Amino acid sequence: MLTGFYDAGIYIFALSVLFFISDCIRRNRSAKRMGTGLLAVVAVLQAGALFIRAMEERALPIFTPFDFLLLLAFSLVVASLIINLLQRAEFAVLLLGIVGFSIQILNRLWFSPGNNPLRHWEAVHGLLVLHITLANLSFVIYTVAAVFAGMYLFLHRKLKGKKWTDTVRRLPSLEMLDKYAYSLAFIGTPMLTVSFIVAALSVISEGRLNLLLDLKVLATLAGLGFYYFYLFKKRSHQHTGSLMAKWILTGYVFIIIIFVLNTWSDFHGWNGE
Amino acid sequence: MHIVVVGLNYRTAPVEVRERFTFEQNELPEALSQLMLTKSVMEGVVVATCNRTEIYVVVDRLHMCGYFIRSFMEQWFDIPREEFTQHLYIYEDEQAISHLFRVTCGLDSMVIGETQILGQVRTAFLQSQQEKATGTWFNMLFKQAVTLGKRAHSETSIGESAVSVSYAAVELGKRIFGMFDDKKVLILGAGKMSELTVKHLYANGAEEVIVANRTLARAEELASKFKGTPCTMEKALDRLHEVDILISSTGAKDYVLDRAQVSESMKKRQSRPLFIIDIAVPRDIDPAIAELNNVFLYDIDDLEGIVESNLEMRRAEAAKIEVMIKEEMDEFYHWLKTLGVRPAIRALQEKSSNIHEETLQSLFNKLPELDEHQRKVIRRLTKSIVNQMMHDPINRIKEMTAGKNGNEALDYFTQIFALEEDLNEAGQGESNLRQSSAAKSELNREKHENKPFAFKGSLTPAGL
Repeated sequence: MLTGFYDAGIYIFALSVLFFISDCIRRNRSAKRMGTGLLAVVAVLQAGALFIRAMEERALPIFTPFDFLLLLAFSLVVASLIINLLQRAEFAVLLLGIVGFSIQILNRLWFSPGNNPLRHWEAVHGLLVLHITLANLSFVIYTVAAVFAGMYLFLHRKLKGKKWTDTVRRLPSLEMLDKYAYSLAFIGTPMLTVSFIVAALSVISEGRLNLLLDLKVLATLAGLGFYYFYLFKKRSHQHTGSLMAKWILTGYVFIIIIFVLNTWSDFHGWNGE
Repeated sequence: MHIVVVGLNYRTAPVEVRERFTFEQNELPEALSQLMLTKSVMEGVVVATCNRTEIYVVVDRLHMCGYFIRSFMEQWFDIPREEFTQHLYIYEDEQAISHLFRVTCGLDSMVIGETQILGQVRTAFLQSQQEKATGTWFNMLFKQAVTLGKRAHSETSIGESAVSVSYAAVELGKRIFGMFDDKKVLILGAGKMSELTVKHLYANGAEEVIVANRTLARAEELASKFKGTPCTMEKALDRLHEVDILISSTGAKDYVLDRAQVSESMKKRQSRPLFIIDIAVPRDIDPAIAELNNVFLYDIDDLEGIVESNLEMRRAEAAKIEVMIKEEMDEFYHWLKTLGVRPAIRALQEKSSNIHEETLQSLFNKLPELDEHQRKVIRRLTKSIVNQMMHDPINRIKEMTAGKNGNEALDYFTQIFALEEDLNEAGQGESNLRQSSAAKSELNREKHENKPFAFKGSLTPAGL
């Protein structure tokens, strides 16, 4: 049943993305409406899959890579639906949709639901839930920020090069994209910080200080440092919007690295089996 | 009956001709009244704007109707027909309907996709309706045209983008800044085009306007229009780092602003973009400034390129509207076909209702012992039988009249249910109604005879 929900979600997600692509290539209000409707169906199917996993594990479905990515994809779809309510949001929704769809596909290819390997960690279960949930949310927020930063660079290049197209007409303004990217980084960074602190305190309380030198931990610290540096520089109003956007995208690369490092991390090494 | 439009517009007649064919607002009721007295005319709407004067009519026959309308125009405007006939266009039936739909959607306008014409057509129709110059056909057609116009503007983006240089600058500014609420505008020189651009920016919420001109008096004059600050050119350049949008059209032979000046001012405002619009020819702004980070420099050619691109987009959107127009025309023709069937359906329903009543009366006379409740039940059940029997034939005839042999089907329907007499009686009633309203019109005409705008005698040309 889980596979049914999941696979149906993938097919409908693909259809939804196609409709959004059609609308972005050439304005088509009915395609946009179809895409939005299908995206809502995807959210329902993903929620259904999460519910099934919760029933199977009798716990929040966040402890395996499969569940984590499913939750991530679900959060991105919900974020897309919310952003879709704004004006000039078609391209942002499309890009988020592509990211969410890619995550859902990769999840299907690389991982399977499996058992919760952390079930025996009863004592720190609550903290782990908080840690993973906040990490998940910050991932979503950084993804949206990266999308807006990417759009900023695209629009900036078009305006500088005096390339006036229908796409340029339909994008939000540079100022708005910059503001959204900054606001999201402003929200995501404390969230990731809290997630990191929770995990660090949990590790310290167990006396396993050597885990703080783990690759993933160090990469997270570096990523956080990068984002805090970005926020500081942004507040100083000394750099151009395009430079700030490039920093957000570079910071996002850190976030991707942080996730990929699961495999090489001593204690994040879920294999999903 | 046929639909005809006779008119002239900006394409067929220059302004010195068009201005002789305008209708004053207070003249329209009289004009409509006279139009309705024109031979063959059964319904009429006059659409008169600065770019077109069009007379839409429903006529009972096509033959000579163009001639009659021209005669009306000749007599109303007191201009010999030889002077304006070559500027007129006449469309009939399908072409006339298509033309009305295209006009209402803004496809026939000087600036394709403009929205003002929609309101003008709507006003013209409502006025005609008020003067009782419209009937079943135009009440349906014009409502459909206005609804289509609204749909065209809401479902496509034909009216969305700028088609003038000054508004193209505003549209560009919106791509950079979004809102202009906390933005400062500096205008160098006081040319007409830059004034227009600033006017749009100010209307869109620009916080402050600084006007710089070689002559302070002229700067003050322009600044007063926008509650702005006048200053000299030198002082303006000192404030360059404060402004977000710079519009230049000084008419100077050399560059008014060079790269070094802008580069220096950008150091004081690193993170804020600067949008420069150079409308002057020769250019005021050194093109090398465009290479600076965070500076967006557009000259008059770039803005005209944007306008052209927007017009191209509007033309593409127009293609979508043409499809909508085709659908609406099919719907109108479908409605026209079913129009003919309504009297027949009404006649059948009345006939069946009369038969039902008579039969019930006869039954109650034969069974006087039936109480009120029983009579009610019998009435309801027998009415249900009648309705169910009539349901399929009525639906079928509606479908068949919309098809190829609609008229033939309607004929057979009338014969099968023996509705000829009922239809004749209904037709007689309508004719009496028309005669009485024609008599009323005649009375009105006599009343208006002595007014300066009215003309004496019939509208039929002397030759007839």
